[in-house]
Amino acid sequence: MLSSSNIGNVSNFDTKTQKAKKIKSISYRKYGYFFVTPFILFFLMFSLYPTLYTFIISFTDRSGLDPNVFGNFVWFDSYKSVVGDKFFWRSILTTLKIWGVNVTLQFLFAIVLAAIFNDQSLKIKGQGIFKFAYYLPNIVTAATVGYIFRQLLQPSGTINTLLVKYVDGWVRKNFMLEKDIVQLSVSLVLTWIWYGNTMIVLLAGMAGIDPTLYEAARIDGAGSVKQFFYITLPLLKTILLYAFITSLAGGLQMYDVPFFFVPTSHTQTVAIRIYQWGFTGVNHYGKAAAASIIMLIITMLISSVLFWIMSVDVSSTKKYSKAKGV
Amino acid sequence: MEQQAALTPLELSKLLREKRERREKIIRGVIKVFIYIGLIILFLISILPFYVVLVNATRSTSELQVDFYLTFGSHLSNNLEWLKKQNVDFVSAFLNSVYISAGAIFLSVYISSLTAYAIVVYNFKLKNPIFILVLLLIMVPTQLSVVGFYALIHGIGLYDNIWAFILPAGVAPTTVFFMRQYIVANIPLDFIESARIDGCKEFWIFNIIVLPLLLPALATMAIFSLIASWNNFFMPKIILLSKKNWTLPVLMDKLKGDIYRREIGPLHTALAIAIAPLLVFYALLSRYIIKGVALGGLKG
Repeated sequence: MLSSSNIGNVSNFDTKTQKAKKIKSISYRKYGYFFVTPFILFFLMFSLYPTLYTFIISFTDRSGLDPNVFGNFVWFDSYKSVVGDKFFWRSILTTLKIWGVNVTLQFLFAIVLAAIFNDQSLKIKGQGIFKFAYYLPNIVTAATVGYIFRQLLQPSGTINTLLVKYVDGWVRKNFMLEKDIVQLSVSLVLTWIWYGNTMIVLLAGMAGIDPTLYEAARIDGAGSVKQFFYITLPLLKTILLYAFITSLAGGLQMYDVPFFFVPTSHTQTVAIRIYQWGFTGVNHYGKAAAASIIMLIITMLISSVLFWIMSVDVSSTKKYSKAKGV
Repeated sequence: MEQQAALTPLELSKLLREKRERREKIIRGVIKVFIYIGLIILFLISILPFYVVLVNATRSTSELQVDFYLTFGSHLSNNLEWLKKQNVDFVSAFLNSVYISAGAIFLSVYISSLTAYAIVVYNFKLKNPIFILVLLLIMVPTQLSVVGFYALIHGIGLYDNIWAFILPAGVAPTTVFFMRQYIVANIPLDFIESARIDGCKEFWIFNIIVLPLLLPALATMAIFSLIASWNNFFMPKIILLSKKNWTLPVLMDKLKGDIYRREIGPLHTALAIAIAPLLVFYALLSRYIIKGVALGGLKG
């Protein structure tokens, strides 16, 4: 699309003959290849190679610390042992549970906040400061954030100290040993990290909605709540789905927060499981690789569903690209 | 009543409308107050944990064991000294994080701009396939190929070397996508054409004329690159083994030992040192960061 307009510009500018034009575009062509070469080289080395290599290793029984020992081809044995491992399924369940609670709360907060900030009749003041604060948790290392909250919950931590001070007979207690509390805490921490980010993405989507729609609705007597449910939400469908599915893809790889927070079996996500197979104990690279490939396929399936939905819903996609200022 | 009876129907309806409007205004005002209270509570929840870490960093362990504080104490230097005695080298970890981030920012931003520029400006056969590749790469979670990455790093001799986290930044599909959109919207092709007529070489057109025009987009992407590499933990933990190569997150991981669990004063000082640079950075650039999130919408 763009290339043709580009060439068009070239020809308009030049008053030379057709032939000269052709020579010119041919001579520029090589710069195209020249300019993309670094990217392609880095892609081959740091992206394609590791992925293919992981794929190959997933068919071997490679293990042990020595990187020069390749292992034997066992084809699908590693996959079988992953699928047959109850810890793998438990880690998937844990991941989905932690992610599910997180994503529900996160989107609830994000949508309500975005609707409030976007409402023209409310005219909330100090939006800049609120956005600044709400996005702040996203900037600081997930590892550090996990650490901070762990600090709050451990026996010598702040919450226990407060309870000892204000609750009679409170005995310091390790909250991190209780499965539900721990999982819920990780979910809440993830919500805390991401709600500002989701809110800003949704606000950008709302900014792309035609303001005359709201005007018309106001003239027809629709209040803020009605406007939100009948205009904002339907038109935000695509971007909501988009944010939701990127969150799922990210959630499946969840690692740092649960790892730093409480390295117990209660927070063992798939990524932590893979790490433990591949890089601790006897280093089952084959098994770790097989699990990685399974997760890769799941994530790609989810992503393609996303792209399919996005391409089906053309009208809202236009709104989305408008919101992105493209 | 008597007064109202004296009014004409027109005046009466006006009065009633005013009354209704006043009531609605009060209701809206009450709702608004509740909304502000909610917003302020969330504001505190978002900020307070960081503030508490900064406060606790200046308190001693024995103080922290008995109470919760909102004002700064006077034990910062003691805590720092304790950390120094434990041989915790924050300076080296901080510098490693800086080197990795700087290298990663340069590589990702420069190579991505080159690629995006080529995709937009030149007409060559692989142009569309490369763009499709970029879109595909955005979808594929390459982080999951840890085993292959580990083998690669071993193979090219970058094990326990910070370059292992600088070089992979050269593949930044999200940045390529963002830069492409920016170039399409903001760089007039006539402009490049007139530079060509003036006899500029293609490479210099890009470096001297185009790159400065991309500055706002470059800044936004640089910020995201910085946050990503500053916070990178999964692979550095596996690959950066020797102490002199640790980054800040790796160092934080090493502080998990029992001795630090008891010495919570110094531990908070360590946490404060790890987050302070990002807090300062965010305070200065938050406007661009938030704008970037709104434009990109592509972070996991």
